[in-house]
Amino acid sequence: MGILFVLLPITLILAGIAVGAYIWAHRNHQFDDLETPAFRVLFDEKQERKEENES
Amino acid sequence: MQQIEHKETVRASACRHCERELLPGQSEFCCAGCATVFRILKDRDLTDFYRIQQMTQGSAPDLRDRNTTDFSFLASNTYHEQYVSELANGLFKVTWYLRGLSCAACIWLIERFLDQRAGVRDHRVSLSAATVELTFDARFDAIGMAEELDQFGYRVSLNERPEEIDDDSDDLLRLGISGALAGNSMLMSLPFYVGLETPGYGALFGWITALLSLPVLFYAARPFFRRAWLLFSHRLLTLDLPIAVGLISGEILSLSQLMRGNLNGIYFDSLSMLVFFLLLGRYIQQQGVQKSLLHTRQLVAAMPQMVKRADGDGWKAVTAQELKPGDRIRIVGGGLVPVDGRLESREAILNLHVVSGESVPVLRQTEELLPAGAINLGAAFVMKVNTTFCDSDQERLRGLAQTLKNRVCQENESPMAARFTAVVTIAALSALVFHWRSNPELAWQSALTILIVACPCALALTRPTAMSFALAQAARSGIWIRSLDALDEAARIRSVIFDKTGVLTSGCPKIVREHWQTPHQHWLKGAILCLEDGLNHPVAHAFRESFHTTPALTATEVRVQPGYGVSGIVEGRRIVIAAPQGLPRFGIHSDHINAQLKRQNLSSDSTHVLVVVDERLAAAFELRDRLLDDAAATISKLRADGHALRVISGDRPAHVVATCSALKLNDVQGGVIPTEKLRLMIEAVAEDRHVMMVGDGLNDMGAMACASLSVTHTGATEAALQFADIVIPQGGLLNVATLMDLAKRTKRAGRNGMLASVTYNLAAISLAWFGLIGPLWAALLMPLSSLSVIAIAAATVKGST
Repeated sequence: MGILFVLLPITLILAGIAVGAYIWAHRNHQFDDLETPAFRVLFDEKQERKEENES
Repeated sequence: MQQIEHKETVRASACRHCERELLPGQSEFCCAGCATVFRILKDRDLTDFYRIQQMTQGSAPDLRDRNTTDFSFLASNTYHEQYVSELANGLFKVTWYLRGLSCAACIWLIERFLDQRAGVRDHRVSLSAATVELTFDARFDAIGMAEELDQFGYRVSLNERPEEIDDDSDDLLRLGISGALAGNSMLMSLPFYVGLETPGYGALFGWITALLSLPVLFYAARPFFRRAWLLFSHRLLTLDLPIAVGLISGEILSLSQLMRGNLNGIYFDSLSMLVFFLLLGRYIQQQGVQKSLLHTRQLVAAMPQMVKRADGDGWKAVTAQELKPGDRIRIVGGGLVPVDGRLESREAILNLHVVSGESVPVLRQTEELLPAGAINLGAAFVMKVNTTFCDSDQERLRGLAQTLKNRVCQENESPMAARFTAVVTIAALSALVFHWRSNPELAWQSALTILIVACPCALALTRPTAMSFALAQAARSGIWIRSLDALDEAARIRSVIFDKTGVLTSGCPKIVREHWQTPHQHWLKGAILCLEDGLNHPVAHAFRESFHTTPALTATEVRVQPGYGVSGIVEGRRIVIAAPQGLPRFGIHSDHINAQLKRQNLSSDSTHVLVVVDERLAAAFELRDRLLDDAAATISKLRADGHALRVISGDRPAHVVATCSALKLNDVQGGVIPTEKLRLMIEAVAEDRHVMMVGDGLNDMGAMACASLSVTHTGATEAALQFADIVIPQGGLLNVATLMDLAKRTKRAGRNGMLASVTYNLAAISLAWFGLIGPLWAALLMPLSSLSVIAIAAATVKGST
């Protein structure tokens, strides 16, 4: 059972990292607009293709 | 080019820009606007627009029949003070609303425009909010940008800064954190559930869950404490109160048990889960409301009007708010009269539709009063301002409406919640007292179990889930509901009062009968259209809509006599289009024409327009403000549902009666002035508390504010849009009936869910009271009941549709 003293802190740290990442994403407005960025992917692809054609 | 050819093969008879069906005689484009836009996109190598549009199945904005907008407000001081915020190092920031922004291709195009503009430093286009957030420097030309976007069908408009609705971003954070901590906390509590006996380790797990519960309690659950306290201090019992009491006493009890080493009495995981579920319910509800709010924001966003005020020798553009009594202002054709005043020019032809509900254009002579809200249908005129903007009738009505509205909108928490709170508190207290003598531990435990198991979770979730399902369903048919109370009220409505012009009818007259006196119909149609080309008069619109040909001829010496008609020469022939009483104005005095007219047998309740070619009557048209296509269906549906129906209109009584008899409506009043309308509405509400008013003009606003529920459509006056409870799509009157059905189903869903929840609560509380179940069971039962309530609500709202 002594292994718990190693495993428990690891669990808590992992959970802490996940919550931290969530807070970070939230502060960076990642959840503000869930609709528009999905479409923006389509535009980028085309622009890159154009650049390739030009080069 | 490749994509465009592909597009053509898809639909040959569609406009190459907007893909709308082409009318006979049109090739490639449906209107001049589309042709211009297509050419510009091609010149600038932006034809990818069509590719993206096709890929995402979007649609380009409708460019037909648009009025041009005056964007000079974007250069005024008022704009910079009220809408623009200054950032550091010479940068500015502003949020524009964009009407017409509807698809991914629109975003792509707008972003390309913004990239090419000088002075734009950063931009963020949001599809869901239909806004663009601009960061710009001093080089930025706002008017030029707005005009460019307008040309492509994206109309820039403004609204107050959308800060007040940002509140929910914190909710998402709270929700996420409580979810993560509750999950971990459950994991750590697993040893208790499976019966961990080793004392040292048990305490370790206990302390970890206690640690995890702290952020949940102190951060995530804060809104509940705040609201419970706020409402408690106002002596109101709400569902937040037992939640707050349960959370605090649960935490304290668990802590004391943990310190005493009693591991069976700690419930940190249940408490965290409770908070998570409650936040989830709140979040779901808010998402629904917010979507609705967002849309109404887009609807009421507008471009404040600039007026030309006499300034020395010339005219200077100012905002309507800056006008003072005595100012002379010039109103261009198609312009809106911003404040009350008197006419200085010889005459003006006005559309008073939004002011009084009259459907026929009205002629005003020098020195006559011009009400704010009137639209200039003729040539530009000069008027003298009588009042300030805030004192004009339009603003007064709006202010009155707002006050009335505020009075009606009071906190309306259901009495069910208060009763429930009282019952739970009494049950918990009595259990505590009853068991105290025999077994203090059991006393605490059963009291806590009652607080947890009777968690109003299910009760609190019923309404939000049913409501958000309903809001989503309403939004799909284009109905926007301002508040949840409005949806509640829609289920209670017993009588409906309609405005006529613009609500039951389209608001613009249409040609109902044509009497041709000439064999050259096709030529004459073309001639009429080229004479009326570019005129912003209801009759001109009626001709354009009725004749599906493009004007190929050219007219010379075109003369418009506001209020009477238009004349001109086409291919050597003099053509006059006028009302019968307007003919003498064009020098036509022919008894012959009058005699011809008599034979035509024109009906007396329609407006007549004559076309005279070289002094001879060539055609006569009867125009009438036509009923909407679904007006009859709506009326009969509402009647079948047992609603009392009534029409109160400001239009001439003869017109109102003629229109409404077609709908078999008997309770009809015409020629009603706005204050009288308000009085009639107050009477109606006093008689029967649940009256719905469907209106769209300024003259309806008083009545709409008094009604227990006000409905308007997307084409209504901005003022009406700003405070109507419910907005339906223009021309979709049947949505009124749909809405009431939906509201009734929602109410039923709420009731079913409530019933299930009450049954569950009664059973669980009695079990807990006798100490038959412990907090562990309570924690397990609670989410189960919540889930079943959500399922019941969803199934009932979906109903038969």
